[in-house]
Amino acid sequence: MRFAGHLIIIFLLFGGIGYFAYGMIGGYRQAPAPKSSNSVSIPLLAVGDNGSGMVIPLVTEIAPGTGKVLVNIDNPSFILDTQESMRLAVEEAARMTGTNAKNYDITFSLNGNVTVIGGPSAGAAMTVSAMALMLSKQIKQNAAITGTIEDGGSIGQVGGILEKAEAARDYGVDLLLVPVGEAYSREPMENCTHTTGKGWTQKECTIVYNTINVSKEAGIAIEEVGTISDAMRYLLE
Amino acid sequence: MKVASLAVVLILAWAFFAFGMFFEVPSLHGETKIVYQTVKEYVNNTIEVPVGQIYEKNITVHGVAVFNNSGGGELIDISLALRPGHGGVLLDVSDKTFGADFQSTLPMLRQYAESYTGKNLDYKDIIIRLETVAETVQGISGSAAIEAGLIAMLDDMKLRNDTVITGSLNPDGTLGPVSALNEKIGVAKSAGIDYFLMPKVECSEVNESAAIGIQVTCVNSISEALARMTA
Repeated sequence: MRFAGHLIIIFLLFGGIGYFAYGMIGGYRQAPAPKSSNSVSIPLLAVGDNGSGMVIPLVTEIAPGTGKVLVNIDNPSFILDTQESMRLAVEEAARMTGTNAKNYDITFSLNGNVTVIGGPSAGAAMTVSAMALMLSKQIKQNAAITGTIEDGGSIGQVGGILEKAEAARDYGVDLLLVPVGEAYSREPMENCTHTTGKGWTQKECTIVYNTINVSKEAGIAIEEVGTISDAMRYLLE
Repeated sequence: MKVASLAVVLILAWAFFAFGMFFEVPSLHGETKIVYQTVKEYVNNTIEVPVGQIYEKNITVHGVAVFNNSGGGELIDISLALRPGHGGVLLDVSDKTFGADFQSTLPMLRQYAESYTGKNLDYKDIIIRLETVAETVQGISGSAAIEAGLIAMLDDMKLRNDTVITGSLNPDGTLGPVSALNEKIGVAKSAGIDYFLMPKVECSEVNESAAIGIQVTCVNSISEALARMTA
């Protein structure tokens, strides 16, 4: 009985030391996950070289800083003229939320299997992300936006809406915000008739615009937004 | 008596257990505990935070740049900083645009700094900012300067103010060639720099006339360069 008692004590003692030692070597330390209030994620829509749409998740983080707009290079993507949009996105977000951007560093990380990222069509998504962070709000899951950011906070037109909408649908996005006038895509169709007489040919053409309802075609809810404030109404939780 | 000793041992055992369980013990692990200042706190705090307190570490290293269009150039300050993060290399694009060639070198610079210093950067972000009048930054000739700065920052070394380095960096730590070498020497000289470090592979390309009034030294590797760059 006495022996058994000692045995239990020894087990307890060694168990405790073992657990302690496990802690010392960092065993139960968890990798620091980004604080939810300090980062937001939104799917960016792009058109690849092969002409099909694709989704690149964009993670935006905010941290105390000195007014830097940071882009994470530690993945094999080279970010080209998109740097311009990032700058403008943070400027506009700070202006609209009345935030002193000099107190923060905003970091954009693009986590896609793509090597080169270019073009301004992610501007609106970046602005919305930066604004959400400055307001300490989250962006709705399953929503996306495509469009450029212009001086003054308006959203400019982009190309490849149909391809982007299809990629977004496949990614699980329920609501896609597009620039004003882009919920319908117009494709010109030429109808020509040839009349041939003696020594002449007359070609008469009419151009008919074939209007495609992107929402119906891609099977995804689409709303047109003209400004960032419009977009925020749909995207903020 | 026996009961008392039994109780003492039990309490000791429990204390050990509790200590291990409830406290994060720093650390054989090499990582300090990461403390985030939440944004909310920060928004409410209207006092300007001095630069030195925002980042864990920071350092400034000189680089020398030559302008594409005019042939002139300037001494640029490369500001590096370290903060808690996820192993990223963050480039400040708030007022500059960086070419793909410049971006492409950065992950390698981070990896080399890790292996050189033996410090794990998985939970750190490196921030890189360039102070220059140029709006677009291209080329890889700043690699050696950035690498030297990174290593000096991580190992808490002080860099000399009168020395500048130019060179690209190979994955093994040796310096590779740069363009417009003699123009760069001239820029450094007119900026008042005393010691100019350059890649050994380009040693023969220095003009005698360019090297008057400044001490030009050819170095083979980043460790050789650091020995001359640290005070």
